[in-house]
Amino acid sequence: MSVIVAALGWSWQETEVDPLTGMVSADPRDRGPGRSDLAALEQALRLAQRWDARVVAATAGPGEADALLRDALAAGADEALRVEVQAGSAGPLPADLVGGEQESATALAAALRQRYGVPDLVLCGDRSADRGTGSFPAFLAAALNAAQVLGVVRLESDGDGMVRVHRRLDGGRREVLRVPRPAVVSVEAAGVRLRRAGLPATIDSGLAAIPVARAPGTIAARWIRVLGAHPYRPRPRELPGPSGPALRRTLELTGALTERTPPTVLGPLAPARAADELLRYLRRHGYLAGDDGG
Amino acid sequence: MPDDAMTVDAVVVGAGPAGSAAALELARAGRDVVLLERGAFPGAKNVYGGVVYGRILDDLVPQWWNEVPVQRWVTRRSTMLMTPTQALTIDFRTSAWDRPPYNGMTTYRADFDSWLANKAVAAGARLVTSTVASSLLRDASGRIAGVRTDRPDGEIRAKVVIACDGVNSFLAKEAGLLPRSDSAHTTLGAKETLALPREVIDERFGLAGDQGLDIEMLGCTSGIPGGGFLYTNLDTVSVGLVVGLDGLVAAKVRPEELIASLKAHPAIAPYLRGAELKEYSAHMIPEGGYRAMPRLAIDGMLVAGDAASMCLAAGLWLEGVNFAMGAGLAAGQTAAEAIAAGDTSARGLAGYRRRLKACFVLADHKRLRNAADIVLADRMQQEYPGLACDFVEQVFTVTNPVPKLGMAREFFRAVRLNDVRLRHLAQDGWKALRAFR
Amino acid sequence: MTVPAESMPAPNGPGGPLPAGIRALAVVVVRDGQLPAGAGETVAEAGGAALVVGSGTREAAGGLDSANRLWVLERSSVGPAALAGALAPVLSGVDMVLLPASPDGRDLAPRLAVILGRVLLAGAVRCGSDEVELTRLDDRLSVRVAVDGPVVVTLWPGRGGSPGRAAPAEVTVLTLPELDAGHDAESVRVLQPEPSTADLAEARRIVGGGAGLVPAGADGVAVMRLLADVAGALGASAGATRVVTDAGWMTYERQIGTTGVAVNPQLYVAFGISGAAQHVSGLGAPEHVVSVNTDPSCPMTRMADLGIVADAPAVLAELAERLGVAATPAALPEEVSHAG
Ligand SMILES: Cc1cc2nc3c(=O)[nH]c(=O)nc-3n(C[C@H](O)[C@H](O)[C@H](O)COP(=O)(O)OP(=O)(O)OC[C@H]3O[C@@H](n4cnc5c(N)ncnc54)[C@H](O)[C@@H]3O)c2cc1C
Ligand SMILES: Cc1cc2nc3c(=O)[nH]c(=O)nc-3n(C[C@H](O)[C@H](O)[C@H](O)COP(=O)(O)OP(=O)(O)OC[C@H]3O[C@@H](n4cnc5c(N)ncnc54)[C@H](O)[C@@H]3O)c2cc1C
Ligand SMILES: Nc1ncnc2c1ncn2[C@@H]1O[C@H](COP(=O)(O)O)[C@@H](O)[C@H]1O
Repeated sequence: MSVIVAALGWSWQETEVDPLTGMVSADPRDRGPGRSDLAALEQALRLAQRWDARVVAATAGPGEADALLRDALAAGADEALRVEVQAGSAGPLPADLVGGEQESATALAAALRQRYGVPDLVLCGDRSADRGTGSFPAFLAAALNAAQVLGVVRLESDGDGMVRVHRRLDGGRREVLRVPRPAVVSVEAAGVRLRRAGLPATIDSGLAAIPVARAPGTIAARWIRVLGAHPYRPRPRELPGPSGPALRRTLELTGALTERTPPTVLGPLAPARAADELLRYLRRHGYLAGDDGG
Repeated sequence: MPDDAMTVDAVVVGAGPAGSAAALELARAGRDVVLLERGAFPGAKNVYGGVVYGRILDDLVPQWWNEVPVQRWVTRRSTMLMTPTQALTIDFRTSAWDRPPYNGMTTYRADFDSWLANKAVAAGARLVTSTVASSLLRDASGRIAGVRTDRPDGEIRAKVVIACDGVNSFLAKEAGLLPRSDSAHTTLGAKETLALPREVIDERFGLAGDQGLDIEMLGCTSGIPGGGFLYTNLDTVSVGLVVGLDGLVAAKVRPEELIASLKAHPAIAPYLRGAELKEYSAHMIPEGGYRAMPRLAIDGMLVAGDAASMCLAAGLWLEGVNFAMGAGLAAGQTAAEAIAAGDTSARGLAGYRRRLKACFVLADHKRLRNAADIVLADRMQQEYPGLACDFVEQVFTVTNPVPKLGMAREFFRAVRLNDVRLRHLAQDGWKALRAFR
Repeated sequence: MTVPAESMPAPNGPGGPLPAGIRALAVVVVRDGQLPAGAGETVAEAGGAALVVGSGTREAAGGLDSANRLWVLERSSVGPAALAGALAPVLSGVDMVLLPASPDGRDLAPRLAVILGRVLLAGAVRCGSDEVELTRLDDRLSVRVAVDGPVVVTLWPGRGGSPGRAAPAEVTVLTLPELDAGHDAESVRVLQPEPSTADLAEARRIVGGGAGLVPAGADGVAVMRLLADVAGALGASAGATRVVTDAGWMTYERQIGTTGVAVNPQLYVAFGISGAAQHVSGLGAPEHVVSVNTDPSCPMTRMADLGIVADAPAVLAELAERLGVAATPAALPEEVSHAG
């Protein structure tokens, strides 16, 4: 019987960043899986029905994270597994927000291997709400030596027990892939909501014991050294660096060389005229085929 | 009702102070109890002013003060009589309130309710959050036999249902215990939480360490019957009002506007300078008190806390959490005994009311049953604060070269100024004495 | 750009075909000649040295104005496992490997980090040789971290400055054996975009809506739907200001600015947008900016190439008609409102 794992992160959902000091504050009670994590669990449950597979809800997190695994059990996961990692800080410190994905992914992979061998499929969320780099699934795939598909917006299982997914590419393009086993797939929340857990299951899950695995000591955490944190300020536009003789440079700096149509302000115009002008401008700069827009 | 619905000894609806206290007692008595809460966690959505009078906790959690999530211990209590331009403050402090068992504490409901609920869970109660009790289950005889929730397979049967679902209790209404709506007996409580640095709060309110201040106000509600409050937390201040719904509707003002003018009052504004608004919240308060209380025990069901309008809200008084806990405690104990005795009919549960009578919950409500009328009466609201303020203002205004009038004449002048009838004054004084005796 | 097709086989083992002493190198994964979002910035951030890998690499390389040294490596498939395996020996000598945090970049970067045994610094906005600035919590927080050794870095697209133009670069063609070192998913095909659903950060054309587009009492949601459809007809994506997203007329994923998405389109058409700093700072460096606004002197109009003083809602309606867009359009697809 095949095994589908839903990897759920124990992350801060609501954070406040002081616009002056950059101090990050969060309510620990808002900690839990993100929307895309829950979408991953739902997808896992749906696939499991098709394949009659077991769904394992897994997390690498502190003891409080058992709560999210209990909710997963209530929603229909067959088993839960938590890999013990140190609790981290009461509120997210900058150090908690950078790095750590590889360490926790490697730890989780090791624990999964030990209990289940390499699972057929691991579903993750697309991004966590706090670190939000979307790299955990990739690290997990590397550690399980499995195929990886990130940022999936559509997931369907075609007859032969394979999964076919649509994944976001640049510029709104989508890539369609066939996912072999084993694989790690990260899904966006796109339209998928976790089913509502039934009452008896919810009540019982409250008492469920959560198996805990220790992270093998071999995984060396390579902490990223944080130098400082502050509120993000978009960086000022940068001008082309020195190139060519002084004159040319000043011309570049003054933007004299980039052929821009001199700024024009027209109007007040009636809507029709305004539309004419707008479309003409677009046409002149090749955004419209000549005949467009009458 | 499908027979596979799960069955427990007791279902408590609502993990507020009342519900958690009830669940705690049942669990302690070894009963199988499920505690339903619609919020994501206990206290998530709960609004209140900010002071909990904790003595009742002695019976629930020994040495509670060592672990309760407190903001500040109230060691200073001021009562303000206000007019738009004046304020007469009676200020009281005592170090007796500064050490165990203390008197009042400011605390956040999200913290306090979670703490109390966790006590119940630790004792064996099963807490189920994000779950709404949507209706009552009845057996063939029409007797209440459990609740239906908004979850799949959401029915749960129980020998006793304890409704602790707060003001306008949906369950009490469905059981036919409360009128469908009752605006005359509900007031609106609205408050803002404003952030100030801890040191600034200590400075402005003359506090140190974890000492706190509690200000109750009269005459600050623009003529609408009600009162106001200001409570200090560690690094926030709660400012709010409690006003009658009918009055609010009649005056066509929004509660935010009332709070705004309260914050702008010359006696309050300096306290709040530079404070940053963290949140605004509003919530109903049952104010009918003793006279509006429903039947408290029927076949298979008990009602406790705001659900049974056990909140003592009379302008200067705003105590609900302690009454809720007291009632929850009594309900839990009664239910546990009834279940043990195998009779959870109205008769089997009758001990509930006896318990409440014997303790402060019904005793205080009975004693103060007329207090609200007096505090909220027009004269008390509109005339007397002015009278008091004008009198004091005149007495303390040095008018030389004009000679002083002398207390008595100043008083009668103030009486005239606020066209107060002496007869009324006498009557009201006497009524007040009786009401608060 | 001159392309001396000077080809060299890659020796195995460290060092690789890249000359020694390259500190930083941008690795840009391309598909049929298309550059990913943020490619230019990444190359600029790497000081102009770039390795373009994938299909149509030469054509793509031509679009990298900010590059001064280019290597191209043609690969039929860009599956991350195999690609990481193939690139490892080439990159092992480079201290800082940078990739745009585009879908393919985000795919490849962690695998490179693992195979090269390095730290991954994901989600950067600025890179120095000994310090990298990462942003977290939807760009509200930036964290400066130390570079204590060789690293792999990914850069958010659209956050950097507009890349400068460097002298035309030399292109060196690399060839590696197509060893399939890894276990990858099988790419079936690539679906072309419907512009109105493209991620804003990637969109080349954006039509933005502001408070001025919604007359008092009008149904903001409907207005913004119309905006999205007109945008679609112009091959553009729809964006909005915070006033609009706060009002719930458009989803937050469509908010442009410091607390929204940072975009970097070629064309920006603003309807009823005042041009507040927090909005404009997220605009990147559009070549062409049009502003339709009743106020001729508002910042947005002042920074525009073409400022049209007119009633935005009316102009939008007019455009809708001209472009044959139904005035009561369907809602945006589910995916859009959830777009990451
Ligand atoms: C503005 C304001 C200021 C106040 N100030 C004070 C004060 O300073 N001191 C004081 O002692 N009291 C104060 N009170 C009164 C006090 O808040 C209440 O009396 C007290 O909370 C009553 O507790 P309770 O447990 O009965 O009800 P609640 O605290 O209201 O708890 C009811 C619980 O039931 C849950 N619930 C409701 N319906 C359902 C359902 N169908 N299914 C599942 N769960 C449900 C709710 O989510 C809630 O958690 C104030 C009230 C207000 C509004
Ligand atoms: C910390 C912080 C972060 C922020 N982050 C962002 C952000 O990320 N993104 C963002 O967009 N904003 C952000 N803001 C808000 C920003 O400051 C502006 O308030 C906002 O961008 C203004 O949006 P607007 O131009 O739509 O509305 P307004 O500023 O009200 O401008 C409306 C414009 O429409 C014009 N107008 C009115 N009627 C018409 C008409 N009939 N036809 C044509 N034009 C008309 C007016 O002349 C005016 O120029 C932030 C603010 C703060 C404090
Ligand atoms: N500690 C963890 N345990 C289990 N799953 C995780 C953990 N961290 C992240 N994930 C999963 O990886 C996804 C992406 O997380 P991130 O790489 O942090 O953006 C999340 O949506 C989760 O599904």
